[in-house]
Amino acid sequence: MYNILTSSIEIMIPLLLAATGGLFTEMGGTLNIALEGLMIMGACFSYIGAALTGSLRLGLIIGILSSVTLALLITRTNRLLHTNIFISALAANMLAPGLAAVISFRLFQNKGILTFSQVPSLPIWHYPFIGNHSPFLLISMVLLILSYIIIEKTPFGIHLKASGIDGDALRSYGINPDNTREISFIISAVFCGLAGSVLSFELGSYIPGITAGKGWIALVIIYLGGRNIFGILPSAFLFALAETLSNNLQGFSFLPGDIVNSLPNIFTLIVLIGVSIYNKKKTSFRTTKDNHDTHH
Amino acid sequence: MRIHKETINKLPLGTLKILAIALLLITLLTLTLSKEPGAALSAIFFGSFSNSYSFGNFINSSVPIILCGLGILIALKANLMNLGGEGQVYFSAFIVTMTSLSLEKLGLFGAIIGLLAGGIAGGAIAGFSAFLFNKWKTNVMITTYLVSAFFVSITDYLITNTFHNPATNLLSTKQIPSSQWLHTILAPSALNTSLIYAIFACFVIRYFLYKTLTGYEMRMVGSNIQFARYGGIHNRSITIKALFLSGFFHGLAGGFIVLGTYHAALRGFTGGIGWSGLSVALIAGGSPLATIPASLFFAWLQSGATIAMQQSDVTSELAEIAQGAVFLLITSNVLLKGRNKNV
Amino acid sequence: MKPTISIKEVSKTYKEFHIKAVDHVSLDLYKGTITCIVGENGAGKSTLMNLLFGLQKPDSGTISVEGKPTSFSSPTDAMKSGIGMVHQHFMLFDPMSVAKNVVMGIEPRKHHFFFHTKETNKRVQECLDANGFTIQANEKVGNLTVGDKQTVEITKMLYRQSEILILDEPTSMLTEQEIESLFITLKKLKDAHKCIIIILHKVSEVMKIADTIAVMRKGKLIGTYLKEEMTAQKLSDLMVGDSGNYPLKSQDLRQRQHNKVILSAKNLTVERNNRGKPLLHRVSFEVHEGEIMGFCGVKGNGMGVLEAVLGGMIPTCEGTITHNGVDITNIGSRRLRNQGLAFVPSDRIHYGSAEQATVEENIIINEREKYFPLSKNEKRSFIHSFIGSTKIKANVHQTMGSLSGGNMQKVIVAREIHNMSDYIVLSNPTWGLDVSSSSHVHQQIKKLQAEGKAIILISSNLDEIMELSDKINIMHNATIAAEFEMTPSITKKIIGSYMLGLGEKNSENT
Repeated sequence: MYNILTSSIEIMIPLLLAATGGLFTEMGGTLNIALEGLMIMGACFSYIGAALTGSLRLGLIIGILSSVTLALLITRTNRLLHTNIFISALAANMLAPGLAAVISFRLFQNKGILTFSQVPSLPIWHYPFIGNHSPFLLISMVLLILSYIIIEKTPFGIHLKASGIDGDALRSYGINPDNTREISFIISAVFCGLAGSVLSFELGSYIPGITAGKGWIALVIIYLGGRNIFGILPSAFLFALAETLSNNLQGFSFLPGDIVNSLPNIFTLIVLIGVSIYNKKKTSFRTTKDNHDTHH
Repeated sequence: MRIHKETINKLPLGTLKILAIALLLITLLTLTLSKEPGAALSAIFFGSFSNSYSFGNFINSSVPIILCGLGILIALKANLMNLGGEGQVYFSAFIVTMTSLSLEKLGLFGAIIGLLAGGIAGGAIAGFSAFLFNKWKTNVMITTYLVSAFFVSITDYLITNTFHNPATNLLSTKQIPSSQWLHTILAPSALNTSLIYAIFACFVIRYFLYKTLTGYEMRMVGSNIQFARYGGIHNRSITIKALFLSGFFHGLAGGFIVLGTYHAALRGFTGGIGWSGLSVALIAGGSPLATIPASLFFAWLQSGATIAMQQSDVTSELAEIAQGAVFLLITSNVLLKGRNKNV
Repeated sequence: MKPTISIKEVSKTYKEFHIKAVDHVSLDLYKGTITCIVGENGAGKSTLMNLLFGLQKPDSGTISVEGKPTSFSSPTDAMKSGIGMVHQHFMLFDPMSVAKNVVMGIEPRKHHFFFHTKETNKRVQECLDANGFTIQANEKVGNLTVGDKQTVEITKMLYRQSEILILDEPTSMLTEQEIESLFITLKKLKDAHKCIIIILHKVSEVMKIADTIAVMRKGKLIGTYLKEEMTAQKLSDLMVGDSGNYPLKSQDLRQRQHNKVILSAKNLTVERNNRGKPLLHRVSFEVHEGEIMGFCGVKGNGMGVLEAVLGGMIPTCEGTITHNGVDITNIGSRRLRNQGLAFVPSDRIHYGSAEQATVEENIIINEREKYFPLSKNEKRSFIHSFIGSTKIKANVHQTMGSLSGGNMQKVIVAREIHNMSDYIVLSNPTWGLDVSSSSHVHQQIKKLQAEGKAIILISSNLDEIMELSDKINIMHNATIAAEFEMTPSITKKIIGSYMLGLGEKNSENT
């Protein structure tokens, strides 16, 4: 029982981080499908950075910078060249593993699993009641609260939410919604870079595919949490719990690895369908058939 | 000879610029990352032409890309973006294999039925997104992607476990009998008659889009959906037809890979073809015949990168990076002025 | 007294439509007055206000604020000069509080980074109270009535201490009581020395609130008048222009009533699911063979909705439409087309054509099922004879968007006439067209009438309606305010007054 809790918390941390970052873009009205690619950048390059510098902290910074760079690539081309943001986000999801392979091959002649002894192991902190975890648990909680403050208590957060509600109305106040959206994208890159680093640092290796759809799960977590900063926490825990349980059951060949891989996508799909059913009750025209329900 | 202004305007200058950027990127990456850049670059750009084996394989690898490109193009004409190519190709390749195997007594005829089954499977996967869109306006790009990713995992499982061929060490199904194989054109390379069918398909699609009623209706829906509705075109039915056809062609791509090259379904063997098809369709700018040179371009880069990986010290992912760069730029309204707003 | 705003010889042309939206307008506006800008559709009122607020730049002329010439490149510049504008569509964020909406962009801050909720609520509440508004600053905007939302928009301007307030058709979505409240507020603001400019189109409202009235027609400023020297009828006449002599119809009207009824509509009503004001309310009419039935009114009073219902694009939630006795209510555009619907929409770009497609592709849309089975030669001759009949010099393979507006409309009209059965709906068919294209379209319409077709003509162009119609239905407030048979005794004056709301049974025309 206790192991399930610890395991779930560990799995939850990167999901929570990615979802928090994704929430910023969501508030701005953009569906951010680049979360996966941004996490990959963080996972790969923070590990390589830590291996090259011998320091986890420096590696982390490198990882976050690489994620931000990729995000800037998307947003700058989108704003200057008027590209389609979805396709560009997809491009980022393609470029990330490509860059990871090319650079790790150049440095280490190995584009597969990277395991280096010179990467320090994560310090273990003793948390009251919930046992031993990495410093990232505290960091993710602090960031969660910080995000709450930024979104709810600062003018930037208000402008961000406004740009998600009605960008043109925001323009009439003299504020450019494109700027707030771009900033929110960069913020999501910082969070995803961090989330990816957590994955590879916790594991002690970088494995291509280490993100395994978590970028998509982060989107589901956001929607399931009601697009609300505090709904994300229980939602992320729920998914982490589900993954822990299914991992434990894999020993009985209950759910084979490939099927487990398919679950993030199916969940996201179901949530998406649910959201669109919910949104369908928008203002449409009444027809003569509608009159049968009401007594006019 | 005077070159008229209209002809110059028809040249895809913006597209060529983007492709040039992609080539430049590959060159730069090779120069910085490789300890023997000369050998690497020579392998990338010329390796595909070095002998008939490499050349045949290079041409052969363009065939499924042409078909996927056509599939994307059909959907784009109706203003729909099918991002589910990967799963549609992979799953239908599996279906083609299993159907042909179960009909091996019928030889080539069984393979044809298998091909159709694969096409229908691909079409159904894409068509499901059309159903969701018609009913609840769910975003087509995302649903095609997610459903397809689901089918990739399912197919992985089926090939590796349920239908795994115990006789080999490969993660693969049983092989289809040689009576069901397509004839090779340039032995010992894998180039086979599917090339002819793919080129033929380009002409068929061109005819369909511009000379038939349904093709016209699709294009009007894509051009101005309000105008289409005003003229009485049944938009919902067009959405389903467009996405089904799109998935069908992706299915054909998967089928031809099996019948022409691998003769079985191997885990992950169609990886990346869906995305290449998407790049190609975006580059081809709405012309079915332009899909052919565009596919050859990507196939050339990809096979070049693979050869460079064998002969020198760079990775094949260079081609993926070039493709990602193309994706990043190809939807730009600024670089490609006056292009049809198909995206 | 020096004018607060001085507009001198300002012009603005929309090149694509060959329209001079604002034509050498000169106008002075003063603090402590309410100036109403009035005029028909397309008179140039909204464009003039957009120029004032920096949403667009004038092609020529100057705008000076407090004596200083200005050159606004955006609304932000205008706001810095003390100008505020309330648009017809609210720029508000429903999930947020009134206070947040009001201070957006100039938020009071705590420790420089944080939003000072307490201070914001306090300041906004003070502003609301000072102006006698009963709204609470911490109330969610989404929970407010339309009238209160408009008050929030006005508060936005007052909070920023705008001295010049522009309101664009502020009354169109308000109830009578809310309009009363608004007018009280505006009068108070006038007494506080604000310079207020309102665009209105209801004569009764203008007579209630205006100090000065500026009448625009076809982009020109016809004149400025003090309220005291104006009456409701005089105003209405000025807005619609002189009556002319219109040729009598050839066939006797009374005889036409015995012709067959081709199209009959009863109680057409259009509502949205959220039960707001109905967009169309109990519209009924009958069109006979060889009859031209005109619908006219000010834009926004239901004509666009009527057009969409007749074209099968939106449904009616009550009533019926019958064609030659057969019920065609809500059967949709597809089936209407199959039965030979002919429909020239008012928006030729978004509905009537596909700009990126070729001329040929635009022509064949209604008859596409007949077209594709034809042989290559048959197709070619079909297209050529079609183009020949329109007398346009155009290559059918060029894009529709490359044609001039006039040629585009000729093609559309020809297309619709080509496979029509026995009735046609035309909406604003000559909008934005040059004189020769307009007269071509009118000739086509008269030809159709001579052939015994039933014609529904919807237009905000009064001259057009009066010249062509046998019967006129005047639309006001989403319903038919009056019906007239077109005889010489029906003048523009009369029609104008119904269009502008004077003819209502409960109107206050003093």
